[in-house]
This record gives sequence, C-alpha cells and structure tokens, in this order.
Amino acid sequence: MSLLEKLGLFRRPLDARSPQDVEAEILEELRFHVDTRIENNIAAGMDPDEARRDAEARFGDFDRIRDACRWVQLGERIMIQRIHFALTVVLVAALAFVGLEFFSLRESVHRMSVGQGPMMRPLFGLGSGAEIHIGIGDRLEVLDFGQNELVATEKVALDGKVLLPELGWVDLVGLSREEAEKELSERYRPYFAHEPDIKIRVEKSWMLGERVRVAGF
Amino acid sequence: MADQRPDLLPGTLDMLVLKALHGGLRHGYAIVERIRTTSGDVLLVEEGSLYPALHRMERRGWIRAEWGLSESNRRAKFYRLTAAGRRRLEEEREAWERMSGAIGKVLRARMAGA
Repeated sequence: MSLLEKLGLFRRPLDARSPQDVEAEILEELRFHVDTRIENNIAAGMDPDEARRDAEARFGDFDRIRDACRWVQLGERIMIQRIHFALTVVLVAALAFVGLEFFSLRESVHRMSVGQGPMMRPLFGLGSGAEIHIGIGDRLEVLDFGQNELVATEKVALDGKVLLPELGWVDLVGLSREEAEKELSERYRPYFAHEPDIKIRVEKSWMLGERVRVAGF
Repeated sequence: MADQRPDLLPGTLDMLVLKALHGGLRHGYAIVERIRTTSGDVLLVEEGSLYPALHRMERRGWIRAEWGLSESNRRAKFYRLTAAGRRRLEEEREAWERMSGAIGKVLRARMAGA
C-alpha cells in the first residue's frame, strides 16, 4: 500500500462534484452545527449573545476547520492541479528553449547569407592547431569553401548521423574535423560541377546543456 | 473549557465516532452529543475538529454521508457506518482494550510495590 493510500487518498475515484459544490456543502454542514448549538443554548436558557459566544467557542476556529475539511475533500484535486501547473511550466520553458534555439539558428544562417557572420572570418584564424572530433549533439556548419557557400547547418543526431543535402544521413561521429572534411569533399564530388572543398565548423555540444564553442574553421 | 478536558490518545476520536454511529444514522452535532451523554459528560469532543475527522473517515470508506432533514426540519448531513467501518471499529476496540489492560497492569504493579 502506497503512502497516499495509507493517508486515505486515491482510494476511490475523484469526487464528481465541482469544488464549488464541495465547499458549499462543507460550509452548510459546519453552519448547521453552530446554529444548532446556538438554538439549543437558547433553549437551555442562555441569552442569544451568550449562546452564540458559547457555540463559537465550543466549535473552535471556523475558518481553520473549514480549510481542513476542504483539504480532506479536495486535496487530491489540489495536488493534481499543482502537478498540472508544474508540468505546464516545464513544457512552456522547454518550448521557449527550443524556439530560441531555432531562431538563433535562423539568425546565424541569415548573418552568413549576408556576409556578416562567422563564415566570413578568416577560416583558420581560431584554434587551427586543436584537433576536434565530431560527437553526438555537435552542431556542424558545412561550407563549400571554394564557392563560399553554406551547404548545411545540422546537429549530429543521437545515432551519430547528420542529415546532409544530396548525401542523406552520413555517419561522422568519431572523425576529426579534417577527416570529416575530406570525407564530405569526396562524397560531394559527384554532385558538384567544381572540385568540392568542404570545410566544417564544429560547435561542440554537451548533453547537460553546457555549450562550449571550440575552434571552428 | 479546553483546559478541563483530559487529552485522549491519538486515534481515539475515530473510535468514538465509529461507536457513536454504530447505533444508526447521525449528523455531526448528534455525534458530539452522543459521545458527551454516553460518557457521562466526561468526554467533550472539540466540536469543530470532528468534521475533518468525519470527512477523512468518509474518504476511507468507513462511513457514508447523505443529506437529509434534521429534527428542526433543516437540511443536514448524516453519516452512517459501513461494513468497513464496523470492521475498523472492532479493530480499534480490540487495540484499545489491549492498551488499557496493559496500562492497568502497570498501575496495579506500581501500587502493589508501593
């Protein structure tokens, strides 16, 4: 038996009544008790004010008791609502993150197309000495260097493959940047009118979301 | 008034309520009065605290609630014992008798040793 079952929750289907109806019934029940006590006090000889004071003192904190009843009756629904709210917040945040990533990518492609982006920087200016190996999740910018044209901007999928125009899914994981460039130049040869000179810019990506930009081309 | 009431062991209220309903259908006010009168005015249930306990027991299936008319012809919520509630009452009663018997033994042993 789960803890929630031990606490008496989730033992039966959710109450079909609306929360407003449940609250109205709780209020009516508690009011009935206090009013009956007042009536009986008056019948026993108390004046009305004294009868009310006595009834309220015997009953205790009305609002606190009403809240306690409300929690017993509606706690299950309140918990579900809170879980629903939390999931909604997480979903919205995830969608916002994906949206930002998408627009960031579009902006990057746009900058390159108008000649303002990193593609126009000296290609071998940064980290040319470091050997980069392509891994899952890395973002690749594939350029036909001879024509200064962007071939594709793609992420390496979880199965280690990248979807490229004409070639389809290509497995590049584990190759160094230079090896991948040679591989793609070779593969693109049948599709280009000129001799392909493929260069790849690698943006390393870690599964935990931390992204470190390593030497491009 | 609260200071005059002896504290009861946890879970005792459930047993008293189930016992009060053993005699038939009652609303909350009648349950309080039933406990008070049958205990000879010794056990005075804190009246408001009865209701969360009633609702909890209802959700556990020990009692069932239905609306009806009170003696004053006013709409009131009545409770009745279910089969699960009767079984629970028996379990509570046995546990109580075991405990009170054990406490009695301790007290008698102290008096004998005094």
